[in-house]
Amino acid sequence: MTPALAPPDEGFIDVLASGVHDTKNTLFDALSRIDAVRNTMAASAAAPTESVTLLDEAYVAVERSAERLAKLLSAYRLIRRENPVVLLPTPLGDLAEYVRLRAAAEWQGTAALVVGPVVDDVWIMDRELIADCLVNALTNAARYAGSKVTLELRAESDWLSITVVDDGPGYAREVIGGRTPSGSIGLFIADKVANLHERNGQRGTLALANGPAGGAVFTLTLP
Amino acid sequence: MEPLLGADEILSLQREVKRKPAPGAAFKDTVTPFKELRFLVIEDQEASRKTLKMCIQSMGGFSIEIAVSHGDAIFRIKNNVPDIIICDYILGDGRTGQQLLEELRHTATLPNRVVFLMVTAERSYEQVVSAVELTPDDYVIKPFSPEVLGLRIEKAVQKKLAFRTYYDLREAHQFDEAVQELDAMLARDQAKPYKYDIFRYRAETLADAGCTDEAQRAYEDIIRIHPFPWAKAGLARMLHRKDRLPEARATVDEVIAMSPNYFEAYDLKAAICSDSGDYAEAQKTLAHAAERAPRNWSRKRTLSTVALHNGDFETATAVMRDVVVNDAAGGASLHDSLNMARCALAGGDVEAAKAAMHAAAKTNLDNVGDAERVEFECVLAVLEGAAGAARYERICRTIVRLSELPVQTAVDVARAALAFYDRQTADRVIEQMLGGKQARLAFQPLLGIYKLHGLEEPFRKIQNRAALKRLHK
Repeated sequence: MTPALAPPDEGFIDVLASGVHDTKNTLFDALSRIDAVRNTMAASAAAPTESVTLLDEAYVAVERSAERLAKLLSAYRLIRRENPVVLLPTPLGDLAEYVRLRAAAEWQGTAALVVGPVVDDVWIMDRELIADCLVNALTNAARYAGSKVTLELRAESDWLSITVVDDGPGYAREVIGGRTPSGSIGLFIADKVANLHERNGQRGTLALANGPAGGAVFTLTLP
Repeated sequence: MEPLLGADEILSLQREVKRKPAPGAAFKDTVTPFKELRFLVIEDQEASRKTLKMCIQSMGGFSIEIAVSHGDAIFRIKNNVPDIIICDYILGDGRTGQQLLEELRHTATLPNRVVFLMVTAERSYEQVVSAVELTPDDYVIKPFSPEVLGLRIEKAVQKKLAFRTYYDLREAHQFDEAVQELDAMLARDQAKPYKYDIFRYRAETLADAGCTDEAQRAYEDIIRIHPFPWAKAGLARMLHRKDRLPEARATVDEVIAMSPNYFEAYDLKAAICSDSGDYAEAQKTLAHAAERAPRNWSRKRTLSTVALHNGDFETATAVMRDVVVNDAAGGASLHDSLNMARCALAGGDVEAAKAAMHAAAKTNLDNVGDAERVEFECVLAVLEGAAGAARYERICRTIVRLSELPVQTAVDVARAALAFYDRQTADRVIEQMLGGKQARLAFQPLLGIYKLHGLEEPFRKIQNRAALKRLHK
């Protein structure tokens, strides 16, 4: 397995973050206005169907953009440690169920989501950040998977290994090569989140690899 | 949506529910337990209230009460304890759901069997949950789907059911049995998801039972696994209890460094500093917390007292005035009025002190304890001047009966005794205080009173005598 991505040059980030923050807020503001118009149109029998459909599409496009910028800001905060991890005991069964529910709500494609073996234990982690990373990894995998995406949680001595495996074409060479490809904010955040999990001098890691049959294997390892 | 609990849990939950007085929602045969449960939604924003209500209804919830503010929530919980509370973190008017939770737990208004779930858009709330000793059963980060809310409630209910025997024993103050129950749970596979809760409850129960050494060991064991701020605060509390003040202070300082938003740690630090006689640091610590959580009136009352003991009567007066104006619906209490009078006296504002005592005299004095009665009479006697001598003499009969005076009472007695030239009583009281367990706590305020009368030298002599006595004990 190859270690995950190197962080980008932090020198640019402060300036960019400020712009991203303002743009994100403007987009969320626009979203609430589009929503208000949608509601008015939905209440009116005279509203042309084509306009309603176009407005729905505009809503989704703006929502996606705003969420993407929100993710960028999360990455910025993780780098700046403004948003350090909150370590709480998390029952792993509960985590798997929580992640499954959230991923199912965003699932695209026809692959099945299989929650594989989940060790019956409690782990000290940031439940919300880890869930964000796993939901992102699962929904990403679903877009490329053939027939199934599997989530497994295993304990190996003092480490917890969380794996998302799909049966798609696998990661591109540059991704497992450790370079930052465009559009990999999710992987960048997962790498940071894993790294911020520190116990007894040991830090978590993210490893990306392709399985023997070719599918992508995303592994978060936490101390 | 599929039923969220297993058949055994549904039966068990229904038994729990049926044991309670009629809650309004009928106990009909149901497919989902949510229909049997009484929900209370606490949220100041109307749109969010509607969303939460729809979420609960979509899970099969039927009996849903709404509270729109902190005060409304307390009123409703006292009148009709719900099964599940879903509370927004921001409650408006400067209040938070965490403050509400702490108030409910401190006043024993919230039985352990009630699920308290916090809803928040603030990721920073997780920092609070990871640190504090009084936590909700769980929290949900906005935005969330009804399924996620349902999952959180289901897990919280399962945990309540797993711990119900323990809760009953702890509430009945059967601490030994409660600890035995926790030890037995630890051996059960089904309790595996709750092992940290068990460790935590065990330490807390031992502390409640007065088993300070064992509780200290329990907290140390937890810290060895992970340095949770609440466990460190628990350890600091046990060290404080054992009068190991420097260690307690170093430990609580670590807690504050780790979790600057954990305000109860500031209260603990202030108590440790006060007991060490370091009122200046205690005042600084409380002022810092009070600035960031301005509606915690209990902390502000302590801040005023600490500032007064520290000789900063201006701060003491300003803080006490804030408390009386903003947290005294129905008139100031005897305690608050007395504090106002003491602040005014310390600042030399006799008219303001008289006005405060006028308010104090209006409160119901029939059921107050001896110490509070002594405080009232002594402060009033001083304000009456020469005419107060008879009042002072009368209350002296009660003073001699009291074996160990609280620090504030001792300060009021010393002030009155010196005002009426009764050095004998004043000296006796300070010798008793400086020779006892509260010596460090009492030292600075008593010295201040003696200094006002130009009696620092006799005070120092008594101080030395008391120190010698403590050494020979």
